[in-house]
Amino acid sequence: MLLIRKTSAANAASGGRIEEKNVKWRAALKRNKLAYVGACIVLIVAGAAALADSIATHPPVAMDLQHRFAPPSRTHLLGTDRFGRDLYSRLLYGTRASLLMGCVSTFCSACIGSLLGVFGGLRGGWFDSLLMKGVDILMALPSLLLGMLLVAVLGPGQNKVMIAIGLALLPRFIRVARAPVLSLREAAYVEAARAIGAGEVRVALVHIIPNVLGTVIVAVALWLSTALRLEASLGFLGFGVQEPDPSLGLMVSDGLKSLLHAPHASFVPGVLIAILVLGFNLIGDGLRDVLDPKLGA
Amino acid sequence: MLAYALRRLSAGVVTAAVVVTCIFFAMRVLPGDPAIAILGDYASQEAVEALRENLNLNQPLWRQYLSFWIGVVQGDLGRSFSSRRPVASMIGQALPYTFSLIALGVLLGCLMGVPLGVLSAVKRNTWVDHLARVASLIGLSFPSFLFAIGLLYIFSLKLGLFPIMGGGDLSSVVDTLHHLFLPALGLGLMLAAFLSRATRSAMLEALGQDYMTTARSKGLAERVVVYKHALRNALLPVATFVGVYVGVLLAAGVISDVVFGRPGLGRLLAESIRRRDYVVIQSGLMVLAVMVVATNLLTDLVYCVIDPRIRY
Repeated sequence: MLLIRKTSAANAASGGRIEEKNVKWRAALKRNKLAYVGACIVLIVAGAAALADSIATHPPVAMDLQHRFAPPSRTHLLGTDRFGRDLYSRLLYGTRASLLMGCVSTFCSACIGSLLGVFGGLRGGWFDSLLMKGVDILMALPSLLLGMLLVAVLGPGQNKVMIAIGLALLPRFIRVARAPVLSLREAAYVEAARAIGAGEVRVALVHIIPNVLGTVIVAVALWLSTALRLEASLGFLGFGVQEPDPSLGLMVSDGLKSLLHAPHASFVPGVLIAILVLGFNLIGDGLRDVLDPKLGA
Repeated sequence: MLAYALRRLSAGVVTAAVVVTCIFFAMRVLPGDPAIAILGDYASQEAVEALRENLNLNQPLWRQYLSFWIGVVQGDLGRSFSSRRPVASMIGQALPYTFSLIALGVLLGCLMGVPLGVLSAVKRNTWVDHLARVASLIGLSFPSFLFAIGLLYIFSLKLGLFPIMGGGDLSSVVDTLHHLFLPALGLGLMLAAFLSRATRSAMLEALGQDYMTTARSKGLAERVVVYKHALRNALLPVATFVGVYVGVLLAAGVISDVVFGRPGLGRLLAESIRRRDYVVIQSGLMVLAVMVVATNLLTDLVYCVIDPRIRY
């Protein structure tokens, strides 16, 4: 797969199959121009958010009540909101907060969910049954409702929302990681590893997880967009980052209160969310084409 | 068929009961005292104890659980902490707004999404297909509130064609529809973006089947081939997708209620979470969860009815 490096000796030993695989996935990558577009979108937006401290023109929470609803100008590139706060600066810091919440929760969920799914699939028995019952219960609720339930219990706040998003995505990662394990555990090389005394942990880490990694990577790319949408929705409802700190969803909600005077205060962060989600979707679609087993990757 | 329906119904009831149980325990077992969450960190110990007694939080968990189910059977979901109104009555007043929103949203979504998907499949790899796919990809990327806010701004604030907020008078169909159309259109656009892709995929699979070649070689008109043969077979998976997506629309309906100020279940839930009104939160989430489970069950049953070949 992507992360496994093989030496030329290993390639020769495999009869050139490894080189053939590398050529195939490079060709698949080249065909997926939209994935590059998605990657560029995400890199530009994430890069700007990361450099918020340097490129923001005002502190994100600084109010200027004499210049409320100011139109875009050289001083305020995107104008100001109902409290006179600079929208451009708030957009940068809000994007950083939203991306941080979305990415951290997705990666944590992917790590924990994948491990649970792999061990559940490997062990089988009561552990796997219990795990899948839990997955079915969690997936009976749409992710936004599950997120709202968790926020209702844990309370609002950035960290609580990250936990809520992570838990909402957890059952999906468990399912995605578990599915290929059910056939991989019957593979000859796994049986051979067990025969020479390899324990469950070694079998999982050395033989199963590298083969499941591609599927999980695709899932991470695709569900990052879900995490971002979920964070934006929870932020819109006021359950995420609390005022006066910005997040994209909270900015949309705040802009709604002054939609007639300054519609861009709502639309600009909303469209940025859509652009980020589109970028991650394009990356995920491209990765899926590259890492699809039918392509021999 | 009847045996299958009964099996799925009993499985659905069990699933709903398990989900409701999980919500019940989640509100009580996870960290944080509900009484302190309602009164705030600076509340006196006496006030916290009095509220815990009021909410029966001092009782053993099993007794609270039993009391809860007895109340559900009797139609008593407790009283709202903030308004002291019976929760069952509050939810009962909100449900018609939620049902009507989801029903019209699904209808509009199907009316827009299915024809677009069919057109995209029939005109595969033409500019029509590319445009439709780009539009659906963009639509899928939009968060649900962006559709709602966009429609509110254009058609209510700028053009004045629809009311800005409210649910309308339910006794008047015209007034109800007037208030309902924009929120439902927002949900419908979400569903249409998803459904057009799903329909395109299902249509392409149907159009590639051998019986399509047979139909064409019999000399049937292309319109008959597409609509009578391909679409009818493609509608089966599409119906499944619609059923599954209703759960997503129920959640998006929460956002829609907040944007348009509709007195539906979503707005009730969002306000209750802000006020930490635990009794309403618990009951509202449970009602929504049961609606999702019921929709999934209905989808399975409709699937079986649509395709008589299916035997379980």
